[in-house]
Amino acid sequence: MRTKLFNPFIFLAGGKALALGLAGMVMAALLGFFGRSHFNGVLDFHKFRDVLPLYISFTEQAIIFLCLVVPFYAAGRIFSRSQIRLVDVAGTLALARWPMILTAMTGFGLPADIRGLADITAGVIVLALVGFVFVIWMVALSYNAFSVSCNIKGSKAVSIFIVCLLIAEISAFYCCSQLYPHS
Amino acid sequence: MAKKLPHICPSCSSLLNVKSLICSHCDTEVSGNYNLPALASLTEEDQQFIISFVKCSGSLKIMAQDLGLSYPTVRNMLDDVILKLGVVQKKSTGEI
Repeated sequence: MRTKLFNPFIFLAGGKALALGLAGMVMAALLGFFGRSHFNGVLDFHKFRDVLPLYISFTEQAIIFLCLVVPFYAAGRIFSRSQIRLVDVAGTLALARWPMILTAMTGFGLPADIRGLADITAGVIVLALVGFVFVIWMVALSYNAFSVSCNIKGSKAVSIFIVCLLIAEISAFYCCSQLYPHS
Repeated sequence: MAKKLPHICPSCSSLLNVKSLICSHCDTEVSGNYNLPALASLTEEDQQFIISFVKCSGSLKIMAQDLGLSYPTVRNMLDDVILKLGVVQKKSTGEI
């Protein structure tokens, strides 16, 4: 059970994982749009005051996915001794973003505008913590996705993963910020 | 109970060699000092993996389907076996 929750890539990768992952991203984009929340980075999730067009929610997902796949695939090509496939790296990383659907659901319960401490209720704190747990789950899944698809293990895998995740986060955050006219 | 062929010395963890072979039909015994073949030096699990690999004509895709595993998982298992074979061969030639 633990393996299936944290490392389903032992059983599922390639084209099937990519299709499932893309479906998950579409769901996360739609839930985000209807809940007025946005994924403006690989690890970022924020509730917006304004309603933005639907295409922005989808563009965010596309940007995040590209910003993830490019550094991880490049790192795999450089550091792995195996013949890695782009479809495995892209597929497993896409599938690893499934917890974002659950994170997007928490957006429905979060207030759009927090002006002071009075707006931070116990419910908001609980939802934020639940959302945070899903983000941690996604990071654990992403690590296993990278490790399995690129056949890199141990401390080498951890250090490469951290560097690639930082590159992905910074580049996705910057690209997403260009989407919002007021930011 | 199926007997396992020991290939690692329980005392110093070096690779074991074959000292004698016997014909189970006429009891003729051959003595000498022979290296174990590289494949016999692998674990039973790794040997089973190689047998499956050959039976699938070397197709990792078919193997992944048969084992119910993903393609990269099976490829990683193969790469691990290749790495182990390299170590065994280096040990047998005295490079390690």
